[in-house]
Amino acid sequence: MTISDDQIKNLIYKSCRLLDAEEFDDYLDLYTEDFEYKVTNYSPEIKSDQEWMDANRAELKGLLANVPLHFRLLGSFMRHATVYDIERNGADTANALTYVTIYYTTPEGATSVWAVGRYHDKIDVSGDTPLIADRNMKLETREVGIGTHLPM
Amino acid sequence: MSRNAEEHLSPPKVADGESYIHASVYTDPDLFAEEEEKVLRRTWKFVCHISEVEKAGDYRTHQWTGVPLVTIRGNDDKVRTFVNTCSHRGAKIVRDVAGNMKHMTCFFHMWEYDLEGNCTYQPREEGYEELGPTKDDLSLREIRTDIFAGLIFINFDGNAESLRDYIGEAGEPFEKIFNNHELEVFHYNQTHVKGNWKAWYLTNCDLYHEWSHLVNRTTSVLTKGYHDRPWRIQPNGHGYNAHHLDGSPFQVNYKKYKSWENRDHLVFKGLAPGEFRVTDIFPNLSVFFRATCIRLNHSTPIAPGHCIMEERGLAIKGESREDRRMRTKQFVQIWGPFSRNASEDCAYVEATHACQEAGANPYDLMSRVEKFEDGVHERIHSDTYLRHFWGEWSRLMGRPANNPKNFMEAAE
Amino acid sequence: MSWQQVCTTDDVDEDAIEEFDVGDITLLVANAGGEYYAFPPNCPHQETPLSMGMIEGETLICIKHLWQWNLRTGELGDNAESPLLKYEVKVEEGAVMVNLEKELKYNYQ
Repeated sequence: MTISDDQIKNLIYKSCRLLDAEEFDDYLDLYTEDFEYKVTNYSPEIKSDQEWMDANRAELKGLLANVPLHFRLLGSFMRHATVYDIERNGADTANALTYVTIYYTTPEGATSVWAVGRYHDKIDVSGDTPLIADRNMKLETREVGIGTHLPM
Repeated sequence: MSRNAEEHLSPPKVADGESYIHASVYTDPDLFAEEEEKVLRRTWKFVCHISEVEKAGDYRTHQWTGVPLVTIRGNDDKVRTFVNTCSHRGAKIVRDVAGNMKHMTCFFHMWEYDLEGNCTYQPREEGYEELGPTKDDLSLREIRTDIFAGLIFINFDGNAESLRDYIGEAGEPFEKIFNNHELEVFHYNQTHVKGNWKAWYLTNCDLYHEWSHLVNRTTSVLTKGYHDRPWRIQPNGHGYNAHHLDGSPFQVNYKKYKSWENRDHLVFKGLAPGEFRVTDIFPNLSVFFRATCIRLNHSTPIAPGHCIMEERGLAIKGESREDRRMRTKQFVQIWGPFSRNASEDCAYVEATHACQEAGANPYDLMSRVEKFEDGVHERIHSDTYLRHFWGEWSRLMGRPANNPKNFMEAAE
Repeated sequence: MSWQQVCTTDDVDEDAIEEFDVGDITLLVANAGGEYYAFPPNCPHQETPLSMGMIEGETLICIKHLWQWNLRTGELGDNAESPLLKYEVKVEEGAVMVNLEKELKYNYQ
């Protein structure tokens, strides 16, 4: 059965919702076994692209399992995403481009824009349900306050 | 038994008056202004790594004590720093953060300067013939610039000792290793921290706070020999923590953190697998090694409760894509905005500053003493480096850090 | 309750700690190099869940202040200032049996 564009969009939106809710196990279920996850940007200071996070399944799983043990930013994130483009690469994969705005809400309830960027996803559409095979969150924002342990 | 207001505001009950500071050193605007003059403009300040200004015309803009600066490599290969403002009306000349140029052109009236700071062109120059000045009188102000182990430093004080003399033996843990490789910056991030620049720096220097980082607790504090490392206190407010007392390296056990591997490949020449070292160069540069990763960390003070923290990662120039990827991965696990440690450090500094600014916590304790059996050297969780830093700060400021504005006298 | 099966040996990986409920009693079972140990769920120090702890050889480590105990001998290791309470354990044909005659509890202040 062919995976529809709507199924791909729903997958991407679900990845935002599950990360917002910090439902990490379900979040990881949206990825293929051998996925690669990156947060990247371009630094004009060093005139170069750079990676701020680079993790495979085992590494991301380890990180997310440890998150509750870490001292970290209090408050919550909310991701607002719009899928701008889906391109098929033959029958098994598709590329999706998603614009993402991440809002941060302090424990006191004040909200601000925390970061903006674009998901460049490779989607595996060979099975019954689509899965994220690779995600590169290309950040436009380079100043993210105290930062976070979480993927974006 | 809790303390009442009077008890809370009284100096800590410690045997040595130099083992605490008054929190106003982090919050007082007058002290901040004085500090710019007496500390920040008289000591050597780290700017960037030489790979950032590799070729003639490569530049990097920055600022120190509010003064806009540009550091640029000249056609003669010398790296210079100029006050980044036109001699004409004072416009900022170089506006991008980094790049390459053949000459510097002020956007306002199109005056030009060469890479050595000479004013080389003014449109309709003849307009100055009657009253002057000549172009020779209008060159840019140069700030002393020097390089140590590939690190570019500046000093506003023309009479200060040389950079090499200033750093002295504090270069021992990193100079050779930096010179063993051709290095380049592969990671950069900066963030505005709602805290004092000294609090940022001293968080790097306070190794007792490794208790707070899950990574450090599990991979380091648990490791045998962790506490058997002495602080090596150096002149001019510097210090480092590198080897065990017997000279052997301290090797972090990275595997203890779930899903991490040990760092025994890609180790910089001169380090042991997993080896950790930190060198603190007064007033605010910290040089870290974590076997496969080098981090340069410092901040630019903006106001008592505001600094811009900058973080750089160094890698070996020309290494393979696979090696670079692995090195990058290991760097950003610990440092960077999405790391385990750096984001936690930011939170510590902001949280303490919020309390100090409100006057909620009048003193900062640094009375930890954990000595080796020799009775001389102090262990990693001693506050000896913190006391050393404040000793140097007090000397330059001419004020004791525990009572910088004579609070007690004023109260009497 | 006296001897109860809490889990099977396959339920707890080597060097892992798992939490189980038996009736009203919550307890942890650790597999330290193939030997099984059972103890109350929280650290005697500050009630930190020991399920988040680490096993190194025979040593149990609380993640918070790195209090350590030798699981076999009960000996206090680095940082630990008070003993770990342990249940009696025996393994019978792959079943991890624990003597739950009395729930072990710390007197937290």
